[in-house]
Amino acid sequence: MIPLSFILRSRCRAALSGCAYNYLRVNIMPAARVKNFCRSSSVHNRTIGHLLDHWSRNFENDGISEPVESIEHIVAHVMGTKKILDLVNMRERELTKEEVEKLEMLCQCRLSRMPVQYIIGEWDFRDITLNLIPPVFIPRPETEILVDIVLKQLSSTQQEKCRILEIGCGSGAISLALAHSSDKVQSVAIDVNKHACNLTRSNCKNLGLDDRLTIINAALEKDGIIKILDDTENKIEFNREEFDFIVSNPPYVPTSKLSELAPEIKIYEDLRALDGGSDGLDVIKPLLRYAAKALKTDGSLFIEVDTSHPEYIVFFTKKYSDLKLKHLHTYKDFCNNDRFVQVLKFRDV
Amino acid sequence: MLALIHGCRMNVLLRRLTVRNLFVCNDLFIFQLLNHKIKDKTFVNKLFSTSLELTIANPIVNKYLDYIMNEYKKGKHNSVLENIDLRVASHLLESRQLIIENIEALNEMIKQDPEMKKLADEEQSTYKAQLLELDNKLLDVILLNLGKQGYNDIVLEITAGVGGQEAMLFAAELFDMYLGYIYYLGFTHSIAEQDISSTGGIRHASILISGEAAFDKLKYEGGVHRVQRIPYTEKSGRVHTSTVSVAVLPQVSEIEVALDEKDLKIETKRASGAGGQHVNTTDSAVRILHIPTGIAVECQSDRSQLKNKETALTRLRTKIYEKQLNEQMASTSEMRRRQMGLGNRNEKIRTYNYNQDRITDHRISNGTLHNLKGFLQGGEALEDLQMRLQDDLQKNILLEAIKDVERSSK
Repeated sequence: MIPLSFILRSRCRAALSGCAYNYLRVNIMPAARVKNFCRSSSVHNRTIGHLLDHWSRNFENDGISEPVESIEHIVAHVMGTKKILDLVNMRERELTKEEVEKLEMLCQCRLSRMPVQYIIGEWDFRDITLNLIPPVFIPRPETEILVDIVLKQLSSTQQEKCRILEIGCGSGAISLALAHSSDKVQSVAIDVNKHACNLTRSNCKNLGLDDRLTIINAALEKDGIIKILDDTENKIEFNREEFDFIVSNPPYVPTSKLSELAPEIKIYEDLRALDGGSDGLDVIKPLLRYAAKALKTDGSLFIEVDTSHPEYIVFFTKKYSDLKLKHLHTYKDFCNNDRFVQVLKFRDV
Repeated sequence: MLALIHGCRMNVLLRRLTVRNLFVCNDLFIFQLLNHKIKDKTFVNKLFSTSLELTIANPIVNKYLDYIMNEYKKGKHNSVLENIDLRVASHLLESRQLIIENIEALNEMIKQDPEMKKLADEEQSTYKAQLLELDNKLLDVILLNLGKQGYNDIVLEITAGVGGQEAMLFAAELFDMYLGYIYYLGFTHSIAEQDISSTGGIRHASILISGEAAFDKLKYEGGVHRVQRIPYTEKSGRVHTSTVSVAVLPQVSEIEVALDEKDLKIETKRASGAGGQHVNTTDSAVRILHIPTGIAVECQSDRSQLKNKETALTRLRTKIYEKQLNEQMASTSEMRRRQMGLGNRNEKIRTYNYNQDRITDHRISNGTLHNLKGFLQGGEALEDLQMRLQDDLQKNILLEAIKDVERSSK
């Protein structure tokens, strides 16, 4: 699996960087097929309507998921819009030769099962747009609700400033959406992957939230201790520091389920952001242990979890009563799955 | 006046709506209309087809202006004045007062000293010219805000009606016309929903529009649009008649229609399987069902599911508001409905006849235009028609107000 993912990634990177035609001919497609798609789409008809129909058929024949949406998003990206509904009124418009070439490169990536979000290099999360670069985890819509839950909690606190730690920030979606929506938020975000930290940093800059978020390359270890990985100037003593809230969308997919995931996910996304170990709890347990130390009294930990996890978290907090954690609430996602858990750090009695 | 209307169901409703700040500018004025009950039924039915010239040459208009001036002079809170922009009108009213006093003084003088008549006549004609000019301005100011609501954020919904695929194709053409019109007016829009048929027509579409007084610019489009032509699909060359209905409504805020989370059933296309990290799709469509009313809305316009949810909620609130309003307004006069731009959803307002290259708006006399293709681009031609409809409505409102004044003075 790893070598395959490496090949696919590198060939898409090459396509994205420009020398697609040769690359396609040499590395990916049989010559006949390259010729075929060049003839059928680029030479004769360059209207958006035609390209949409042509590529959605191509994708469908290749068993690509969401064939129509995929090409719509790619065309919208080439046309410089975020909304695929805008395309309905552009069907007659003709793309330039350069635009068609770009489109075809991007479509090749999709044929290699690259997620649309990576192909167009960005996606929306709540009201912000994030740049997305493989293999940093693509934020899922469920996580928008996690932000909602934290924001509701924030608006009910009296404090003027709220210090939040995000563990495993990926592209920065949660921390940036929080800072974007509430002036109270002052956060620290960590990720074990250096590329994720860099991506969060650049997204943070794009959104003008530099002074609200500190990003550090650090790892949460099995024993619930955070270890800083790079020599940053921002020395934060994670194991002495206190936070009002800790928020995380930790990897929670059980390892046995990884093989069942769509190729878009298992080939392109960083498995460290998905793989939760045998029961999906490998990171959740250290999270609870770290939260027990680093949360202020009455502070909360908010995590996104697998549907089977809330029950375990209730059990965990009861079993390790010395951690002074209490399972406060389980929230559902739009599909009515138990998806988010709030754990409270309570006062010494 | 409030004592007068007390107990009347309709007025209680209107008062409540006023409290919620829904109809800002015209309420008290309409109270008055309703109070006096519109007796002239034929007038009500022909709301949009007045042939009466409402100029100051008309003595009843003069009488009305006198009435307004006198009410203003009394300085009391009066519902007739509520509707007029007094910042502009007050100095006009004061000047008018002065001129009339001067004319009266001259008349008095002539009576006492007939020798002065020639001199006084000259002066009087100057005053009368001034008065004429002033009255014209005053009438303009009064007409300016009449029948306008001033909402900037609206929802426009297009639904194909009778006629199957052909109706859907025409719905798509109307959709393009409105996009053209939005562009022409410099408004911003986002398409919240678009349900496209296999032939490229539109079953249903919903556009959120924002722009200065967008509601006033588009409210006259609400109603049934009828198309008469030989459909592309028709082989024997027969002309078919199909319909498309259009609804235009102001966007309703959370305060105006509060929704209870418990009453909402939210569905996404991610429903199957484990969800969360297990799935990565681009589909962010959201469908919301409001259980008590059975109203369902869908939104697929944004890449963020949360944004789609918000848009869907806005549309849901608007639909619930429309439903509530329709129920409550069952007994309301047509005039009131027109004023609010609600009209009658089922009323046939316009016909597009392709064979004759003609558009006929049924609400105004001489409402026939030509050059269908140009009209469907949604530019000047549509705006001209909209202005004429607005003029007509304003004149009718004014006419009714004048009749009221007449009636009450008898």
